[in-house]
Amino acid sequence: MNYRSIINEVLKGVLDGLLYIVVYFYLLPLLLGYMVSSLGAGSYAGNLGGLYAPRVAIIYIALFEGLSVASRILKENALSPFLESLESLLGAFVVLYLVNVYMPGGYAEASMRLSPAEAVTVRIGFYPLIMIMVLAVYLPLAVVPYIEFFMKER
Amino acid sequence: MVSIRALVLIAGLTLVLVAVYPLVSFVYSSRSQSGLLGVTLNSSAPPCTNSSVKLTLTYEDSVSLFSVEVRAQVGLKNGSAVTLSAQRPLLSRGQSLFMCIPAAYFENASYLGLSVSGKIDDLYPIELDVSANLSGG
Repeated sequence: MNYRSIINEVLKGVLDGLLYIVVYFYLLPLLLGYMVSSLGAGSYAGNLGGLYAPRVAIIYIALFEGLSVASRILKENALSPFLESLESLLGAFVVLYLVNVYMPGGYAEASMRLSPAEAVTVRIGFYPLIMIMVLAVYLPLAVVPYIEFFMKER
Repeated sequence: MVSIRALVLIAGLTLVLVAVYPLVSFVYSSRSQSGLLGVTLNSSAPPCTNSSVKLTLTYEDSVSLFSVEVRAQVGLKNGSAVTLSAQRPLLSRGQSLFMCIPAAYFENASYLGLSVSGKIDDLYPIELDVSANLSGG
């Protein structure tokens, strides 16, 4: 691989990382927060950075960018599927963290006081959806890089 | 050529969409109508006896509720509480469930609580608690 193609792959990796950051730092928190707040179960932070200390948010961004760039540069290497797999698992970790912030224990709860003497509380368990999401999207996405790599090698 | 990753992603997201559909339609239906449950209290309505009050819950949502359990708790002025419960394997829109509560409990009641639990489309657990303090405050 010459310098030109390495720079090309680094740029592609940076773009991949940016895509992950947009999805996991902005879109998912926005979607989950909107879902929870439209149920009347509390307000939401606009992005993942708002939920973490800045130092931790920077580590997350560095991890997404680092893994994306490394998996692009090492795409011919056996390490590449492992790095891509790690990226998917990191995404799943972010999703589980966000769910636990917005819906502790996988439950969203909304309370309303109808009068000083009357109150209504609704609790809905979202954890089956999160389990389906992890099993149907994140787990296969963590396995697919290995399948693709071995098919290419064969 | 479509990559394996794209196929896996499309299949996974389709599964997620299928799973989220009952939840979205449940929330949409309960918000767009008069509510989730209709609660009525009738004194001496059949099949309850003259000395009891019939509590009827009518399910209003378009998505069925499975493994439904209703618990009515009447807190008495002497500090004790009486709990009555009823179960139904399935509640669909328009179906109702009733229980007969002895009228004597209401005469001495300081607190009334109603708790409904079940599973939206047999998948998502839901708990609804309504409480009313009858002695004021």
